[in-house]
Amino acid sequence: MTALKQSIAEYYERSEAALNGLRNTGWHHTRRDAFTHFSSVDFPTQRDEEWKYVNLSAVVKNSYAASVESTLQRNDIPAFIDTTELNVLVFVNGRFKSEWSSLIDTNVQALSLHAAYGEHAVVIDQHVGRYLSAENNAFVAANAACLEDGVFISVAANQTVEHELLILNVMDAREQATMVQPRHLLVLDHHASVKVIMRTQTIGSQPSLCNQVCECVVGNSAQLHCVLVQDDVTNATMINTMHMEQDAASRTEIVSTTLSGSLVRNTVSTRLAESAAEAHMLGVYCVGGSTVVDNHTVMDHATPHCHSNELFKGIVDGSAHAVFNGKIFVRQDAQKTLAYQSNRNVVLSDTASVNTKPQLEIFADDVKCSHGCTVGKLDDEALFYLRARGIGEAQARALLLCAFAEEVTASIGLESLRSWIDAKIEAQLLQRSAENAAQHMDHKGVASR
Amino acid sequence: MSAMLEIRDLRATVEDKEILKGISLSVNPGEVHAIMGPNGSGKSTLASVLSGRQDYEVTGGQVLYKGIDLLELSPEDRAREGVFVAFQYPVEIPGVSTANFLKTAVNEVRKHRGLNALDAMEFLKVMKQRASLVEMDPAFFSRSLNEGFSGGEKKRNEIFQMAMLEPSLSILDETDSGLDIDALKIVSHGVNSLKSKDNATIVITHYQRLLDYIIPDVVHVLVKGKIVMSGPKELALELEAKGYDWVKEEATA
Repeated sequence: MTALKQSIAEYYERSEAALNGLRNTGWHHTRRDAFTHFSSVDFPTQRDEEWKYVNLSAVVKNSYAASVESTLQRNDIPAFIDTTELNVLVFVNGRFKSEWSSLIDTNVQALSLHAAYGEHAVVIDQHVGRYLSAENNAFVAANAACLEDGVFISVAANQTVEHELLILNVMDAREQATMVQPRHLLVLDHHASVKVIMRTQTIGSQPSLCNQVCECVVGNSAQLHCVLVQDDVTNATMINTMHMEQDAASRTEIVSTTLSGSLVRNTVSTRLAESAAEAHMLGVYCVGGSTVVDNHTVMDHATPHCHSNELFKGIVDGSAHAVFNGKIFVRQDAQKTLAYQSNRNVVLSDTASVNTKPQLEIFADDVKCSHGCTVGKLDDEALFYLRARGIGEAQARALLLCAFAEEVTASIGLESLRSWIDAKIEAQLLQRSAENAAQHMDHKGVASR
Repeated sequence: MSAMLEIRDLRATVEDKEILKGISLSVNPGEVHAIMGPNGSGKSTLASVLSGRQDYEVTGGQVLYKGIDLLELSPEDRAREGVFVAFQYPVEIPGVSTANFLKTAVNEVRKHRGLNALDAMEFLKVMKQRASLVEMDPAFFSRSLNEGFSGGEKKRNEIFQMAMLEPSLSILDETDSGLDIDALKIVSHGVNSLKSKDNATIVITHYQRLLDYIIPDVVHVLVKGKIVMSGPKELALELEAKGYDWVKEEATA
C-alpha cells in the first residue's frame, strides 16, 4: 500500500470514530461506501490511459497529515486581489475559518458544507457523489471517504449573486506534508446566477496535496462562471475533479489558469443533460520549471441543440510538461449540436513538452463539431516586427505571449482578477526570459574559454 | 557636412546566394534618395539588411549611421537610434492592440533617448494628431495590430508608426505596392509632412509613380545587387518611359 493510501485510510478511521451525530445519516453512508470503493482501487499509474503522461509516484509515496490545527495568521497568506468587494470563504488545512470569511450578498447560501448539513441534509445527500462517482476513481473515492468539509453554495430561483464568491483553500505545509480534500457542492435553481473563484495556496516547503472534488448542479437557464486560480508553490500538487450537470438553457463557463505548482491535474466534465444548454471551458497555462499541468475535459452532449466551446492555450518553458485531453461525446439524440475545441501551445524551450489529444465520439448525424491543436514556437516574424520598432527582445516576447494568453483571460469577468493574472503571466515571462538570457551568456562564456 | 548614412561596398548573402554585390551609397540629412530597380535586383534585401533581419548574412562592407557601425546593433537598438523601416509586408499580430504596441515602442525609444515616458493622456493626444497625418481612424488604435487591415491600411499604419517614432532615417520598402492612387497620395502626404532638414528618407520602389508625390533628390538604379546608375529625379521618369533594359545594357557595356 502506498503511503498516501495509508494516510487516507488512517484518516478515514480516525474521523469515522469522531463522527458522533452523523452516524446514521447519508453523510456517513457516502463516506462508508466511498471507502469501500477506495479500498478496492489503487491510485492511477502511467499504465492507466487517463494518467498516461503524469507520474504520480512522488505524490503517492508521501504520508500526509490531514485536518491539522494550524497556527497560520492572516498576514502569512500571500497577497491576492482585493477581497473587500467579494464574498469570501476561507479554509485552512481543510477546516472552515469563519473569522476570515465574510459574505456581502444576502441572496446566496454559501457556507461550510459540514455546517450546512443540518439544514440542507436532503439536498446534500441528494447530490454529493451523484455526478462524480467514487467507483473506480481513487481520488474521488478518497475525497468522499474523508468527506469532511468544503463549500455548499445554493442560489434560489431567479437570484443573481452580484459579487464573486472566493473559495480560498490554504494549506500549512511549514512543518509537515499536508493534505486537504475539499468537497464542494453548488446548486443553482432555475434562472439563478453565481460567479465563483477557487484558489489554493500552500504555505511552507513540505509537500502539499489538494484533492478537490466539486459538483455543480446548474438548473434551467441558470448561469455559472468559475475561475480556477492555480498558482501555488513548487511543492504543491493539485488534483481537481469538477463536474457540471446542466439543465435546459443553462450556461457555464469554467476558466482555469495554471501558473505554477509541482503538478496540476484538472479533470473537468460537463453533461449537457437538457436542450439548449451551453458550456464553455477555457484554460490558460503558463508554466516553467518542472511543473506538470494536465487538463482532461469531457463535454457530454446528451440532448439536442446544445453548444460547447473549449479553448485551452499554453505557454510551456523550462522542463515543464503540459497535457491536454479533450473528450467530446455527442450522443445519438443530440442532434444540432455545436461543439468546438481548440488547444494551442507555444513551446519555449527544447526541454519543455506538450501532449495534446482531442477525442471526439459522435453518434448523431446532424452536428457541427470541430477541433484543432497546435504545438509551435513563437512567431519569429512577429518578434522581429516588434523589435524593429524599438521593443527589446524580452519585452517583445512577453508582449506576444501575453496577447496569446489574453484570449483566454479575457473571459474572466472580474477585472481585478483578470489584471492580476495577466500581470502574473507577464512577470513570469519577463523573469524566465531574463533567466534564459543569463544562462545563454553562461554558455557563451564557457564556450569561448 | 558628414553623411547620415554611409554604405560602403556592402555585400550580403541569403542561403549562400550573394544578393548584394558591393553597394555604396551616401545619404545626407535633409535628403530623399530613391532606389529603383527591377524585380530581384536586391532592393528589399538592402532594406532587410539595414533593418537587422537575421536571415541575411553580411559578407563584406560597412554601414555607418551617424558614424556608428549600424550592422553591430540589434534591430531594437537600430530603431532606438532612429532608423525606421516601413515594411513591404507588415505582420499581423493578433491580440496586441495598435495602441499598446505603439505605447511600448515609443516609450522604449524615448527611454533610449533620455526622455520621460509619455502618460496615457499625452500619448493618446500624440497618437490622434499623428494618425490624422495619414487619415487613420482612431478606431484602429484598439484593434489588433494589422490584423484584418487592408493592404492600404497596413501601409498607412506603417507611416503612422513612423510619425510616432520620429526617426532620423526612414527607409520605405515598396510602400507603394498594393496602394490605389488615393491611398498613395495619403501615404505620400504623410511622408512629406514628416520631412525636415535633419532627417533623411530612402524610398525603395519598383515604379516611378510614388516619386511623383515624394520628390527624390537622387535616384539610384539597382541592378543585380549593384548600383549601376545615379542621377537627378528625372532619371525616374526616363526609367518609367524606357523600362530597365537600357540601364542593364549600359551597365554591362
